[in-house]
Amino acid sequence: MSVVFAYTGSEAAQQIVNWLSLGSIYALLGIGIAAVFAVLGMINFAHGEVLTISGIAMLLAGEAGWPWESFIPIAILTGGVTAVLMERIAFRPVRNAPPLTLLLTSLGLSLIIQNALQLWRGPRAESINIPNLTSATFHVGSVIIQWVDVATILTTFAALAILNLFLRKSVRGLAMRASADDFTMTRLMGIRANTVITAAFAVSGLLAGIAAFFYLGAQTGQVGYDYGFTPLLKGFIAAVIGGLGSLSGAVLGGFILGGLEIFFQVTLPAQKTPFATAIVFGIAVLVLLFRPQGVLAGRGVRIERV
Amino acid sequence: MPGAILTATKVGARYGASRVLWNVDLHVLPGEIVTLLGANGAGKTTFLHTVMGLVQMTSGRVFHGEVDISRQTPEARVTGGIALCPEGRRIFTKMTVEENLRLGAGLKHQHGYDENVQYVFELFPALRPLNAKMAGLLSGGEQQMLAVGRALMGRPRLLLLDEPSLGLAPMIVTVIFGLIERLREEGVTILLVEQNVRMALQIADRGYVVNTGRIEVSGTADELRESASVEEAYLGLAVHV
Amino acid sequence: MSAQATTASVEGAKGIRKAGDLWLVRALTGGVLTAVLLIALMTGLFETGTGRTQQVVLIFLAYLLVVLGLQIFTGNSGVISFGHVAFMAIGGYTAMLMNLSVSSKASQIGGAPGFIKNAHFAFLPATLIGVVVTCLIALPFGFIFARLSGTAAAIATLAGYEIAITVIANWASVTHGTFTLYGLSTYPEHTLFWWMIGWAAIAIVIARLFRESGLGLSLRATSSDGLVARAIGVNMPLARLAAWVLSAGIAAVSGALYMKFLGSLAPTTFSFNPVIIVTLVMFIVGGRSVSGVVVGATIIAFIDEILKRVENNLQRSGIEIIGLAAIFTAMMIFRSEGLFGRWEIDELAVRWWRSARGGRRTGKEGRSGA
Repeated sequence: MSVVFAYTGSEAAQQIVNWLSLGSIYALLGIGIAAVFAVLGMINFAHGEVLTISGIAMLLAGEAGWPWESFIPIAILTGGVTAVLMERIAFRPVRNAPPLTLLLTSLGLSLIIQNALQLWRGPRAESINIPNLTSATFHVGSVIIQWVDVATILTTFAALAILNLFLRKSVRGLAMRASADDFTMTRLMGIRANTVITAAFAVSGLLAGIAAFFYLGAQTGQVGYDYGFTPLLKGFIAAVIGGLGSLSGAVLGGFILGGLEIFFQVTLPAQKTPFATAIVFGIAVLVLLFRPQGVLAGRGVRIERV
Repeated sequence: MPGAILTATKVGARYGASRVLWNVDLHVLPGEIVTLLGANGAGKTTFLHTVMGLVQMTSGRVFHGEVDISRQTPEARVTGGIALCPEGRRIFTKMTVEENLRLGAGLKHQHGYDENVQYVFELFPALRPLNAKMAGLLSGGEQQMLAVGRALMGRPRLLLLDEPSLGLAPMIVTVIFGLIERLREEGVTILLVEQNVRMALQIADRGYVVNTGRIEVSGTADELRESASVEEAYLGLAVHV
Repeated sequence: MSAQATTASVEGAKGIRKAGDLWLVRALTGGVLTAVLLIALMTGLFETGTGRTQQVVLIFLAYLLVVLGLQIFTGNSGVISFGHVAFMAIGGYTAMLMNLSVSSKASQIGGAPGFIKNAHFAFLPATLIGVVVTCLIALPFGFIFARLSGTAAAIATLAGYEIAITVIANWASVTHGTFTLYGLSTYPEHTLFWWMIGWAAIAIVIARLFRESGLGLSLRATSSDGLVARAIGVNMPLARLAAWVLSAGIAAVSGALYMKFLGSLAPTTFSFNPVIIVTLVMFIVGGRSVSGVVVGATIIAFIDEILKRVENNLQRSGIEIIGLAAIFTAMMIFRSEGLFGRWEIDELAVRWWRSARGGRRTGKEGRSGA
């Protein structure tokens, strides 16, 4: 423990930047899970595949020789379109089923997509044709900051600001918030259920696209058929910590998760880092059990009190 | 019923496996206030929900004017000009008054928003200063006004009101009922479900008494009022009017 | 309900009918019947099949056991669990540690505590120790999980699985960590087969008995409504806990048998892939009836084997899972209660028999129509 306090100022600053950058990505992923849960009451197990598909889109664009700057809009657009298509094709038919069936359907869809990708592109990860962005750095005093991290943080905050505007000012955004509260009543305003649900998936997909660019494109530089699993888990834990169904909670959850990961990375010896995932998962379950509305009192998963 | 704004013929409905409505025949003429009376659980709310398309109909048809809306989705019925102000008000408590009203306008009436908001504030002046307040923090009476106001933002021709007096102090109830009468003057037709028999029959033109999913009695307000046996038999109370 | 049972028996006025209304008799008959069917089919396959077929049968039986375990919990309570493969792992590792020779253990896990290093049991006691340990571990978690519903249970059990596997993979001094724990003397195929089919038959009967018992019935009748349960005096947490622990025990047996088949264990044996397969099978099949699970799992295994061969022939990995997942997703969309719904084979037979005889409909058939 004393290790933490022995950190010098510049190292702390380094970790803070890392934390903000990581937290941003997790926040984006968390909203993706939370938005769909808020409106449909389901956990979308196929959300990770939205990222994978965005990653593949970037991959293809790279193979076609397009400049890496174009990857950003490509990823974002692909994410949005993929998520909306998923809803239209796989989830709409089961829309009125109990949440568990929805969860399982999304699991099935996730497996189908993963294995279809595996059949198409093979089992090994491929490189996205993007220059090594992580090497672009600048100095603030003795602290080395990567431009990528700055870009991640700024883009995320911009996206969140736009999202906030959407949710507060546009009718569809208001409808999304309202339907998380009372879906039937929203329909009785004459606002079609499909409109709201499509909006929720679009939001989750667009944000996933941003996350895909920074996480798969910039940070990892690779994409493989099963690269969606880890982002799914992260987004999921972020959403749970923040209180499933609360978008602002998911953002907070993302940063809390990022903070916890950095903390464990710093304090645990190298061989023990797998425990970090287990511990974080355990924390998420504890939150679920004892404070299902999460840190910020979102809708939360309804725990059946027997 | 020709000329009626709402007609229900032989309507049956069910929740899941249990039947809740049998053979309901009912109509509302334009400009009327019609009230549905009956004990708790008699099926009044269920009927309103059936008209809105929220409950599965097993038989019969529902007409809005000349249009058969029996197969329409709830959203379509709303944009067609019917609005429901549900039992318990069900306003969006985590949103402001303004946001609630904005939602009430749906996607179709946003362009007339400013005008409609002024109209609602004129009807319910108490709401005007509360525009930015979180709806969950309003008093019971204010929430009821908001619920009705929200329903009016879509400029419905027919308004279904479910137990507007529920949980409100008598003074507020009087205010609310005054507003309902005012609405009728403004040209809104109203189908009112109420437990407060006395007040309901005071403002209604006609009424129906519902008992375990069936219409037992119907008539003008005067007829129903004078029929003490109706009230005792079906509402379980001796009402002194 | 007992009034209807009495009416039914008066109608028939036959001794057999009377006996058949006793849940114990019904459960035993049904269970034994299913078990016999399974034994017949599997023995036929095993004796006449190639070495490859025999392998498939053995793996199938191991998986069938964990699915049966899952059925006891999920099939009756309606609560999903992603964590039963973890019980398989715990049971498997424990049994292995008890069954491994002392010398094998010394070379691989020299740092383990004495009672583990020096213990050496025959296969059956080792298996039973595995069951006991797993049930003991399952108990406290059952207190937590047994109170959760749908989505929360899915999340929590998945987390539990992750944590369990992480612990196993990192407790190198006891489990040999991420490395393979090897050196077990295995049985020849035939011996393994009889062990597995024997346990499978026992599990089927146990599952059936539980299903029809008071605990099982109360679970099934109130699986979606805790309030109803309370109202009729059913202690649902207790019933769920019982189902949970019992199912963990069966899963542990599955793990023990599997490790005896493999002769070695590694954490990757219990990777997410088995979790997926078990979940897919469970929900394609439906899970509310024991015989349904057995029949369904057999059918799925056939399909799966075909898919695997296609995958091998085409040299493309992913075909097997995509095939299963496609069937699974289609099931979710079109028939979410699974292939067999909620009736046991013998119950269906009785219903058919009664309606074929043109008998008067007595509504719910005895006590099993839940």
